[in-house]
Amino acid sequence: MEYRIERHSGVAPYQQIVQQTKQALRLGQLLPGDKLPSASAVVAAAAVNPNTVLKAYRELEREGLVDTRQGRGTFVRASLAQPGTQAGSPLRDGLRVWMATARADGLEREDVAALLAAELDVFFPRPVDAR
Amino acid sequence: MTPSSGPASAHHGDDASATAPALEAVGLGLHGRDGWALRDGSFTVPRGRVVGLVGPNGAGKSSLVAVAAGLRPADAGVLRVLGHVPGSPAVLPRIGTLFQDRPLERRFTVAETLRLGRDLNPNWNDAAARAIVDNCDVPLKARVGRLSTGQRTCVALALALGKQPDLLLLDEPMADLDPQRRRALTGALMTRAAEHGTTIVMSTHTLSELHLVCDYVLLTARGRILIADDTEFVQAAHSLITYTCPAPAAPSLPPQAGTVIETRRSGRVHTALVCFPLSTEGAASTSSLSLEEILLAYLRNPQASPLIAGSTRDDAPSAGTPDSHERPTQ
Amino acid sequence: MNTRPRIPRPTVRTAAGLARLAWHQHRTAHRTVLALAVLAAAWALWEHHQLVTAVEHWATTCPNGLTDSPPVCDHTPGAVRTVMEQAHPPLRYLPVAVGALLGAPLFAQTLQDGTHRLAWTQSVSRRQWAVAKLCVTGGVTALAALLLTAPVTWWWYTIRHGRTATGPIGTAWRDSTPQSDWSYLPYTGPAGVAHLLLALTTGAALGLLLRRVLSAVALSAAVTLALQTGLEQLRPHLLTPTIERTSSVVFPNRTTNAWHLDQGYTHADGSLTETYNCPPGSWEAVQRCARSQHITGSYIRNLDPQQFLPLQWLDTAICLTVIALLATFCLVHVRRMKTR
Repeated sequence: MEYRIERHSGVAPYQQIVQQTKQALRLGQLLPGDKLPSASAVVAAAAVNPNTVLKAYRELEREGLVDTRQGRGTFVRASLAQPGTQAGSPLRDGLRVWMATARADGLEREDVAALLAAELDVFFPRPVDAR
Repeated sequence: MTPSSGPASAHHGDDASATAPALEAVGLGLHGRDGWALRDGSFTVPRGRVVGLVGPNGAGKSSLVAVAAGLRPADAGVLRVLGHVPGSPAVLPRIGTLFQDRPLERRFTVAETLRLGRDLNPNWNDAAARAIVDNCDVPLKARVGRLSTGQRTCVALALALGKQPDLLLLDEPMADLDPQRRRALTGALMTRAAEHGTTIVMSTHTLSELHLVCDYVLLTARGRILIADDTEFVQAAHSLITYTCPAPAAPSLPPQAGTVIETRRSGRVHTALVCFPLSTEGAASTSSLSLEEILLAYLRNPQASPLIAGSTRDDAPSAGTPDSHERPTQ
Repeated sequence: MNTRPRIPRPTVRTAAGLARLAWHQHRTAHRTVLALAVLAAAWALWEHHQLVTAVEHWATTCPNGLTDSPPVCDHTPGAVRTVMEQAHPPLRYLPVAVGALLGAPLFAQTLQDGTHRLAWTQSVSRRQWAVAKLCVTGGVTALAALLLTAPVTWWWYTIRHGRTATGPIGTAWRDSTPQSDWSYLPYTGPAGVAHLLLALTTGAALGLLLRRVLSAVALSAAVTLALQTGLEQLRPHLLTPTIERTSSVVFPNRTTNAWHLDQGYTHADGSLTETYNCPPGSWEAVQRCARSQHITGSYIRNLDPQQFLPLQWLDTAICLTVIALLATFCLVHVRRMKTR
């Protein structure tokens, strides 16, 4: 698991780590029992303040996704992977078919993204207090 | 993964210096080239923080490094380093310093320079020093005088890190490095902070990346300390409040808005950068700011009321002082 | 703040590291000085051989000395002149060169470049750093001084010894190396080393004070010269001289190898005067004139040959005392220095 910190995005770096971890949990790239990279490994590669990583891990721990074992590291506790999100699942295959159709119809990346975002908001409305 | 005090401090630590702040200034005054670069500066840098030392040229950043390194005494007031007098035998082995002009023996080879560090420092870590030098592709046999400025920075930084200090004082460490080395060396510094809890104080002009690297900021301008606080707290404390005025000439801000750092107006739109906003009544919108924007606003307005951890603002209204702003704790 | 100093006493490694730094910083100067000393020593040894050969040759050619001899004996051999005359100026100004070129840059160079901060931010005290620099360059200077002083001392020992010899060879030494004024005292024996070390320390202290190489070089040269001149002036007054009197205006014979300080005339009451106002004239006229001025005899003031070594050690002791003072100044001052 390697974190990629967008240096000039408006998103706080610790949130980027949280989001990327959750993304990996959803996609099944991280499974329960897996060890998250140590803070020093993350900061060496990403060149960010160590507290950023610690804060992100604390947040993940608070959400019950990971477990910090004293002196040993931080481990994945729960998976966010839904059956449908795995590669090869019918749900994902369906999305792939839809994507292929969209491309064949001449849609650009931005068009697809806008379309997805719009439908996303319809089917999965954002919580009101989102920050 | 909790930052430990590291092997260096283990046999140094008496009780007083184990808990003492990395830097503690009381009424600190520093002479610059013309007049006072800093007057009556009081601030504290807690241990284990990565501190961005920000300010225009001539604002006493290099002088502060020189005083903290014990090269010269403060011109007024007191500066304590890890609880000790700067430059005293107790503190000398525990700080690593990188000066702006990277003083090195030009006729030494890189290997000879590192050997010097090994000979003269009891806690020397040769692997750590060599890792830095390797990172920059500096050949060990090269004479220091023939290296590029960036490579010289690497060698000087290797000396500072090889010492395994509890406090690193770095004067514009990344100024003359290419992006790739900048990234690698920042990573190395952050690793040092993560693994050993080393306090890092680095002066910099690169404000856009400050929030990624630093968790504490010391901002100085026109002889004053303007900000000495946690970066997250600084960000949380400031808001940009936009008002829409009925007429362009109308009186602008409600007086109870908070500590106003900067105001701007453009036609009917009036924005104010406010520290500890008390009331957003009448505001059209309120938004948060990036650390860079806040620092720049203070640099543009050096007469602004300072924000210094551990001290109360003279002009901050006492009622409703932001207990709600939870100061992040280490 | 009463904290116990945490810099441990220098370990062998720290001491070696500081010494290596001190050597490296001035390695060109150190190597040059040692190489020049070796060359000078070789030349001085060769010159000693020349001197002895020349005087022995002179003794066989002019068995009766200067008094009754072939015209060739009117000239002192070249090797003698080299030792007695030409070697003096370089030996006299060597301390000035050492003070200006080796002493002055010792601290001034690193302070001017700002590289002192490299050492001052390692885990060693400034004092240890200064001690290492003084010791290493002091050691190099002492070694070079020893290399040069030993053969020069041998010259003078041979000459002094030769003058007291009997027979034609003694006459040859006395005649070819006529006067002994002990000017070689600061170039030989322990004083030879001490004077060069004094010059080094003077330059080092001034460099530490001025922090600029050029001004330190100039001032070191001036101060070293002044110190050497001062010691020269002081030297005749350090020990009590012997006064030899005669009861006529004819001066007593000079003692071989003594330092002839001055001569003059004695009054009836025993007081001394260096000159008297008598116009040159016949022997009787001079005698009469002298008597009219109550001059009853003449005297010469000497430092005896056996006072040479005590005087040389005294001179050395003075140098060592000043060296100690200057070194102490350096070690006290370096701790208090404020730099960028």
